[in-house]
Amino acid sequence: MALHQWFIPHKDTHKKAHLLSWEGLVIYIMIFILLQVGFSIVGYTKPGVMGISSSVDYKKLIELTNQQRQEMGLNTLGENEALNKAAQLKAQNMFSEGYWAHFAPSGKTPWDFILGSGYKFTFAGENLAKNFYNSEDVVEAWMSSKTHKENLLNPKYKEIGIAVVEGVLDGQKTTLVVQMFGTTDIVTSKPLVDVGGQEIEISPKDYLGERQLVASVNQANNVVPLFDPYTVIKTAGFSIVAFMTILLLLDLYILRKRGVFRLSSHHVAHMSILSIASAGLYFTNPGSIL
Amino acid sequence: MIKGKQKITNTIFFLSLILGSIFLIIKNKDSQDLPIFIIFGASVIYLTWALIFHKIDKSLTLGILIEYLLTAMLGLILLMGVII
Repeated sequence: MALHQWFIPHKDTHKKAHLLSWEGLVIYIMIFILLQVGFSIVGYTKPGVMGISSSVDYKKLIELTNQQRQEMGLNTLGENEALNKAAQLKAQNMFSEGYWAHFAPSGKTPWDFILGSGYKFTFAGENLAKNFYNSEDVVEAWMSSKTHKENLLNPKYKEIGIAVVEGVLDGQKTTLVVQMFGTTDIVTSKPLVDVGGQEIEISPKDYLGERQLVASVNQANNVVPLFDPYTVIKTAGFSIVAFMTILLLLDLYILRKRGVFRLSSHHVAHMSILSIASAGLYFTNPGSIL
Repeated sequence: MIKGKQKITNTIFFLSLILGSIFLIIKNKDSQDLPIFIIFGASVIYLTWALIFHKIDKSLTLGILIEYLLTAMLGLILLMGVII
């Protein structure tokens, strides 16, 4: 099989280039599946080798949070050391128990960390984020989610604590952001915590009970990832779409030049779905909130 | 063979599909699931169009159908790699 038949239509039969036919599409799909499988294997065998290098800064997050509250005419939140410690303990617990949720598999709750750090709240809340490249994207994502936005803009809160902790989660270097809100003013008859948009009433037993949390806050795990899997996937995706678009345009041009008609699938339709996929690749990011 | 009027209709249809989908993706870019649903929806529309177009054109073959299915699959896999 001649090499040029992989790129341009056959000169006699005018059959489309192999890299545009179903065989070519299977090759592209296989490349992506192999990339994903490869990343899973690397994550399992060499935890921390891949992941995101983030520039999220906790001071900037407090500043942006207060900016959002001020724009809504609300009070600004003061940084609280106990809430900072609670957020730090929560983030480290997520790495040590290997979970991404408001509640730990061992049964630890958000209020365990808040009360455990010595903050006797009457109303508190928690927002989580992971794998964002910068602080602006984190706050933007919270503001785009109804429940997180309501929590961030809750007028009952007076204080804030934030932790940005790096570590290895599911084999990948991950940056976790824990945002804790609270007030010690009497704003409700019973202590409440806003978790994932749900207000949970804390029982007196839970509120007053002794807590055995991590004794001290450990140093953040300073892992430097060798590569960012999301950038690799994005680059590979854009390359394949660009390559296919060039081949589709080349195919159209050559057929027109030869003045032949070929019974085949519609190039404009393929280019449309590929351009939508490219837009998706461009505008989405690996960050997620909880 | 595609006639002139049909060409214009197809162009308008696909331009609307591209612009509508991109608008929805930008609007929901911070969501974890919605961009995937948007491209899934666009793929369903694309496949339905392909079936109708090639049926009317009397050019529907298994090979052509597979090409559309694999292209839609490729579009979804590209995005799932970043989000999931």
